[in-house]
This record gives sequence, structure tokens and C-alpha cells, in this order.
Amino acid sequence: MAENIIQIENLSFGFSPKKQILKNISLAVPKGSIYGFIGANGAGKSTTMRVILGVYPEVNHTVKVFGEPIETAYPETFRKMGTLIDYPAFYDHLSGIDNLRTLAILRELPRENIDEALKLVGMWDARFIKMKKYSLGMKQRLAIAMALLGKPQLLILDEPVNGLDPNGMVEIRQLLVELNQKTGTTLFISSHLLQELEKMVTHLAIIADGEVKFQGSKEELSDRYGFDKVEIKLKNAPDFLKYIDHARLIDENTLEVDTGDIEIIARTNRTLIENGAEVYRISAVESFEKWFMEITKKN
Amino acid sequence: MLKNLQLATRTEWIKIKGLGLIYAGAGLALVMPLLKFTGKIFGPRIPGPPETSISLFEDALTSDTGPFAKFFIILFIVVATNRICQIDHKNGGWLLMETQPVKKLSIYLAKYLNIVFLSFLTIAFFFLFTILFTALNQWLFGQTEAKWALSFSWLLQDFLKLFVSSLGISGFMLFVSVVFQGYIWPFIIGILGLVLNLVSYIRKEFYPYSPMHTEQLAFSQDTRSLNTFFGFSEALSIFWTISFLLIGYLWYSRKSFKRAFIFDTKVRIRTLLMLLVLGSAYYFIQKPKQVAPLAATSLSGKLEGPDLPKELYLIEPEFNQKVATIPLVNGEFTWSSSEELPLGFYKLISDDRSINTGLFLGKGDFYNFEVFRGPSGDISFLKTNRKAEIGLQGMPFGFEISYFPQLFQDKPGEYYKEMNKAWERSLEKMKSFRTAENYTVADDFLLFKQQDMAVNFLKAAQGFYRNNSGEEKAYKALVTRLEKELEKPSELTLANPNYLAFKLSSFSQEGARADSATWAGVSALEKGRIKDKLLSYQIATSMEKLPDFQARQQLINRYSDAFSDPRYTEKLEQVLSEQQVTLKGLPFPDITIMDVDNDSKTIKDFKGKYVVIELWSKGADGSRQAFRDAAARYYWYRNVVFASVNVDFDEEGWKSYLKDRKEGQNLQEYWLPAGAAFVKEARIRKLPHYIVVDDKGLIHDFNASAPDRPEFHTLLGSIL
Repeated sequence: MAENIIQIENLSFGFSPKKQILKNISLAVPKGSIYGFIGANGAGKSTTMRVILGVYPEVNHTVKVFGEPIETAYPETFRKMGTLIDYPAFYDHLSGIDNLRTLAILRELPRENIDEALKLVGMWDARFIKMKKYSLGMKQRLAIAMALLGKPQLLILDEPVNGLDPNGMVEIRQLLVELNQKTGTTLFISSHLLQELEKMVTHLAIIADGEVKFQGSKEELSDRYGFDKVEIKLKNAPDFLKYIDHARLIDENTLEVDTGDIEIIARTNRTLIENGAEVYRISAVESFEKWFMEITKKN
Repeated sequence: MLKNLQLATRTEWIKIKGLGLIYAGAGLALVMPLLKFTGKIFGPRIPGPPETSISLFEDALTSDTGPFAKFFIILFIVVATNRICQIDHKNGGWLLMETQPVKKLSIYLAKYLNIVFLSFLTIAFFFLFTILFTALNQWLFGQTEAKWALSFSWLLQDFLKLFVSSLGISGFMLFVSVVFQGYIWPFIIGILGLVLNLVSYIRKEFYPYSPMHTEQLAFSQDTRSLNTFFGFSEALSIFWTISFLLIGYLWYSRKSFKRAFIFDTKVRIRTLLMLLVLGSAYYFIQKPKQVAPLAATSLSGKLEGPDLPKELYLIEPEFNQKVATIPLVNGEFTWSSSEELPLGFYKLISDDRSINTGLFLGKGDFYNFEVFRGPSGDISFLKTNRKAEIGLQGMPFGFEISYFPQLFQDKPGEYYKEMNKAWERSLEKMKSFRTAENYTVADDFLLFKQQDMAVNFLKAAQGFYRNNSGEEKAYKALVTRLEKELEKPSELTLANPNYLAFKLSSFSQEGARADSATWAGVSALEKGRIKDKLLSYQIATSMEKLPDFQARQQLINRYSDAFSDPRYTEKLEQVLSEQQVTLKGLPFPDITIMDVDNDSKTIKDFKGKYVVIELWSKGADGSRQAFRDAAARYYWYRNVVFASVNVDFDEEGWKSYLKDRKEGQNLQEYWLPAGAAFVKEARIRKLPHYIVVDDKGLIHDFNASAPDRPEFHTLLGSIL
């Protein structure tokens, strides 16, 4: 059994005993994974992350990080962790480098770590500028540098690409994936931007209304909630609609076909070829977007 | 934990970089010294008489520390605490800190330590600026020679008191600023605390339940007068510090009031226990204290300044007898006695001056004096177990009844109702009276003040009843209630002239025969202590109305057998012998004075004119301006001479004085060789002393009022 960096079992939490925000949540974040934590606004993502980080007190020993209950693990275990929760936290009257210095002192890190983190996120040149003059993207980068300070084994990131332009998103995403692949850093990332996570996670959990609706690997999700539909890209699609059962025309070059099993896909393909169709591509119709919508719809 | 706290504190220090808090502290510390300096530059430069000074710097710090402690340092803490917390409230700073390897307790305490350090710096700036600007003032504008020495122990105590008393305010403001996340609420609460301090200052009350009141308590009297190095204000400050650090930390770390204090049974029990412990601690700290008398009565202290006496005398109040002669060695004195000492208002005096004429003293009490003598009189500080009694003595309890007759004219029902209310209110205030050091009055003194107040209320009620008929039942109920208070007059009450005069007046009816009725009433009393006191008071006050010495002597002789204690007769004889020299109508003593040309003169030389004499000494030079002013004011009256007579120069001193003297309009200046002997013989207790001699060379008033008093001008108006 793989080692879990974060382990939550039956966590319930609320600010009063009668009104629970989180209901019986269980999560297991394997070491070395990129774990997506997906939920709509108000679903309980931030509260869960705050409980994991010990910001909200949890006294029932339901949360473990690095195999230790958070009641005893913190604050020492924070040395192995980097965090970015909510909107990037920083002191806007300080320069970028001073913001990193505050954390470096607490973590007892040498100056080199600050320089390294700044260079890694491309903020070296702007290090002496006060943060109130930073753009949203610069702030986000610096927040990531703050999270990366001290080379953590676990990164907990809440909406890490929020506010970045498309290029910035790609860069950060690459940076995180690279970090995961090169150093084995475990990433626990929450987002409501499903497309962003879809492209990088290895595992995920979906939360809605304070309850975890699904958790597991990406493949497990696909197995459980996969849709029996394929998308066929071909030339002059309307001409071939009449040859195939349960097909819909999507556009000039696309048909969507309901498929019961894999045999139907092979038979449909054969029928199209036999009737002279030029088939370019057959792909399964699936996305986090649709999975997410489906799962939360059941609630 | 300590290392964790150290790291958190360093981090917090970096976080306040660029907020300008050190500059703000320095700016607020600069206000008072700079205002004074600017005043010196642009203000009028009137050469005045030299002030009595303890030390140039101590004088300046003493006058400025009050406003700084009660306003500026509190304002700084309010602003700094709020600003420091806002940087975390604003951009998720709390969360950022809480997800680092640092304990929440360290985060909270680190903020507190930084606020405390900033306060420390601000206080240090204040002391530094005050000293620098005072030195600069003296250097640029100083007109008299300054005393530069500064007592380090005083400085340290003053500094530490200011600092320690600010700790609770910082703790409270941190709690408020963390819990209320907006900028405005902590600011409003802080300003309300300042307003409450202002109310306390105006109403002369203390509000120990306000955590922002500790500086007010600490600097309501001079540090030199405090009985202990640290006292009530510091204890309260430490209590508020612990309380608010605890409450604030729990609230902050649990993220809500509910989770911190009432979440479940376990938390509720913890909250209850905490309230119990803190509540008990507060109860014991703020409970007013009476200082228990010691086994021996002790008087000690030191006098600093020129021309110190060789010995001091402790005079008892009843017969004006010397209880002790206390030698003064190198300006210091000490006396203690385990003998019985009747409670009363004693006098501590020297040959030429009084140290204290209302020393409330009994067996086991202690007094420690620190007296600085100078040109404009004494500056004295007093440590004693009778602080509350001294404080209560000056409080105007029941003063409002003086305007009741006008307010409730023709409404006797309302008058008696309000009198009852005023009595209860004043009594309650009197009982709850406490000093800034949290001392409360002893029962013996409380009874005395209560009975004194009852006399005043009775006099007022009787006066009103005479002029306003009706509501007899209400009047009688009030009188019965007040008279009950006086059923058993205490020893102090029996020595109180107010009570004695009231008691004597109760023997007489309104009208021409009032005086004889009083004599009859007091004579009819059974021989004993009460009769002795009433009779001696009646004789003493009646003597003043008799024109000559013999008539006075006859009066004493007439009643000498009526006393149970012969010392009362002796006392009256003594009073009479004192009056023999100074009695109105007697020739003014034949003394020879020297004028500015060193020619001799006597008072007889002024015959045909009234002579207003000011006797003064070098030590009392500073208070002579009023006499100069009076002389100038009466310039056009040709039948009066204003003679200012020095009593303590030697010949050389007189000549040297003449060189620098400022001539006053209509003022003649003289020197009385061997003046000290005259002062002693005439039993003059305090200088300057004023005497009016009539145009025939006879004493008109040997104890005239000071020229800055309206009575002085009434007297002159009646004779000129």
C-alpha cells in the first residue's frame, strides 16, 4: 500500500456543533502524487484545507500529515510543507524579498534559498519592488515562491494559477509538474478551474456541499463515471448520418455516437469506411468538466 | 518555545518595516518638549523670580510625564497596535504565519513583544527629547542658575513606572485589534479609553476597571511620593496584560468566540475556571487597602536647600505642646516612638518654618518627608500610611447643599428629599474613596469626616428651616437622622472647631442673648472632657472679641475652675501670652530696621500713616511679587506706606541684595538685623508674613491676609 502524505478519516467540522460545514470527509493523498481537490465555490474546499493545515482547530484526531496527527505534527511539520491558501497572502508594504525573508527567518533558511525561489518563479528582477506595485500575476508568482521556500515535500496550493494569463498558467503548471517529477514533491491542489487540473493531476477528489463525492486516481474516476460516447471526426459528416444508429451531428465534420460496448465502436468505424467516409479520428467523449457536473448534479 | 518566540519576534519586526511606527513614536514623544521650546522662542520673555527646583531635568520631566503618560503614549499604542494587526488582517497574513513552523502562541506573543518594544522606544525618546530640549532651553533662555544634577534612581523609577503601566494597555489593544478586524473599531475603543481618562481627570475619580486607565493611576501623583517602587497601577497593568493575552490568544487561536469559550462542555468548564481565577485576582488587586499601623510611630525624611534648621519639633494639637524635638543631621532626620500618641492633626515645624501643619498622626503611623527648599517656597513629597486620609481631607463632600436653599426656595418638601439624597450620595462617595495607590481611609478618620459632614448638613437644614416653614415632619426626620451620627462624637470630632462651634450654637436661641445662653449652656455641662473642649473653644473665640489684655485674662480666670483638666487653662494662658505681643491696639514692637541707604528707622517714624509690613526671608523671595503689585496699586493713597522687611540677611547679604534689587513702585525696602529672633518671639510660623500698623503706631492686624487675597484689599479698603 502506497504511503499517504495526507490522511483524513471521517472528518466533520463546524463552528458550532449543530451546523457542520464538513461532513464525514475521508481523503488519502499518496506520496508523490499530484492530487486535485475539486469543488464549486462554497463546497468546503478551503475549510478542508484550513483544517488540514491546522488553521481551524480539529480535536478528534481525524487528520494526519506525514503519518502524524496534526495536533502534534504542527508547527514543526510545516518545515516540510509549502502552502498557498486563498488569495496570495503577503505584506504589500514590504518588497518581494522582504516577504520571503519573513518566512525564511521562521523556517531558519539561509539567504540562498530566497534567491533560488525568486529565480525559480522569475521574480529575481522585481525582488526589491514593494508588493503593492506588483501585478496580480507577479503576486501569484511570488506567492508560489513563498510556498516553494525550503524545498517542501508537500505543497498545498489553493487556486495556484488564479489570476495568471494563459502563458503564465502554462508556465506555472509546467513548473509544478516538473517539481513533482524531478523531486517527487507531493502536490495537493484545489481549484474550481477544472480544465487546469485535468491536465496535470494523477489523483483527485471531488467535494460538494461538505461531502466528498469521489476520490481516487484519474483512471478510477474514468472507469466509474466514464460515458459510453465517442466523437468521430470525418469529412462531410451529414452524408453519413443515415448509416449509423444513435448518432448526432455536431458540426460539418463531427458526429457523436452512443456506444454500448467497444464492439459498437469497431462496427461503426467499419460501416463508415465501407460507405466511403474519410475518418480522421475517433475519441472518447470525456472531461473533468462533465464528470464534475455529473457528480455534483447527483447531489 | 523560547527560540520559536524569538524567531517569530524577529519576523514581526521585519513585518513592521516601512510602517513608520518608530517615526510616529518619536513624533509623539517630541510634541511636549517641542511645544515648550517653541513657546520659549516665540513666547514673551518676562523675567520672573527664580523657581524652587529639584533638578532642571526632573522638574521638566515631572511636568511633562503626566500628559505624555495619560495621552500620547496611549495614543501611540492604539495606533501602533491597530496598524500592526491590520497588515495581517488585510492580506491573509495570519494564515501565512500560521502555516509556518511557528506556534500560534508565538505569533500572538511576538506581536505583543513588538508593540511593547515600540512603546519602550517611544518612552525612551520622550525622556531623551525632554532632557535635550530642557538643556537647550536653559542654555539659550535660562535666566537663573540651574540645578543640573539628576537622580538616577528617580529617573529609573519614573521610566519603569511609565513602561510597566503601559503593558496592560498594549495587551488590551492587541486583543481588541486582533478580534475586531476592521481599523475603525479598535480605534474607537482606544479613543473611548482616552475619553474615560479625561472624565476621570475632570471628576477626580479613578476607574480601575478600565484597562486603559493604568497610566492615569500611575501618574496621578509624583513618583517621589509613592509609598512603594511599584504599586497599584503596575499590579493592575500586569493583571490586564495576563488577562488579555490569555483571552486574546484563546479567541485568536480558536478563530471564534464560540470555539474559544463556549463550544462544548470541556471548553465551558475551562472558561468558567479562567473567569474564576481572573475574577478573583482582579477582586484582590483592586480591593482598596488600609495600611495597618506599625508597632512604632515614625517620622523621617530629608531637607535639601540653603539655611536648614538644626532641629524640628513635633507639636501635638490639643495643648500645642512639643511632643518631640527631632535633630536634623546633614539635612536628614528620623524619630520613632512606641509610646501612645493620641490621634490628631499634629504640626511638624522648625524655628522659622512649618514642614507640615496638618499631620494626621496616631500611634503606629509613619511619615517620610522629602523637602526641597528654594526661593519660591518648599517642594515637598510625602510617603505615609495616611495617604487616603490626606486625600479625603481635601475632597468637597456634600458641597452641592450650599446651593439647595436657592434651588428649592419655597419647596421645603423637595429640599429635605434632596438633602437626604445628597447625604446618602456623599456618604457613599466618602466610603468608596480611594487614592491612586488604592489606599482607603481608616475607620477612625472616616467617622470624623462623616461627623464633620453631618454638622454641615445639620447647619444647612436648620438654616433652611428657619427661613422656610412647612414639611416639619421631613425636617425632623432629617435632623434626627443627622443627629444620630453625632450621638457619639469621636476624639477627632471633639477637636474639630466646626463641631465645637455647632455644638455651642445649639445652646443658644436666635437673638441678642445668644451669647449668654451659650455661656449658660456650656457652664451647665457636667465637668469632664467634653465640657473642657467646648469651654476652651468658647473662651478662645470670645477672647478675640475682647478689646484688651486684662479683659481676656479675666475671662480665663473666671472659668479656670470649670475645667477638669488644668492644662486647658494653661493652653488659654499661652494663647493670651502670644496675643500679648500681637494684640490689636497694642503698640507695635520697638524694632530698628535699616533702609536702602543703611540708615536706621523704627516703625514709630511712620506715625501719621498706616504701615503695611511684609516680613520676608531669602527662602520666600519668590512670592513677593504680589506685595510689589499691591504697593503699586495703592500708589495714590498718601496715608499708607508699604514696607518690605527682610529678616534673614546679614549686613553683607543686605548690601549685596541692594545692588541687584528691583525697585518697586511705592515700595520701601528694609532689613531687620537679627530678624530671626523677632520672628520667633512674635511666633510667626510662615514667611512672608503681613502686618498692618495704624497711623498711631498701634497694631491694627498682626496676621493680615496675603496681598493676593481679596481679604487683604477689604482690610485696606476699611482703613484708607
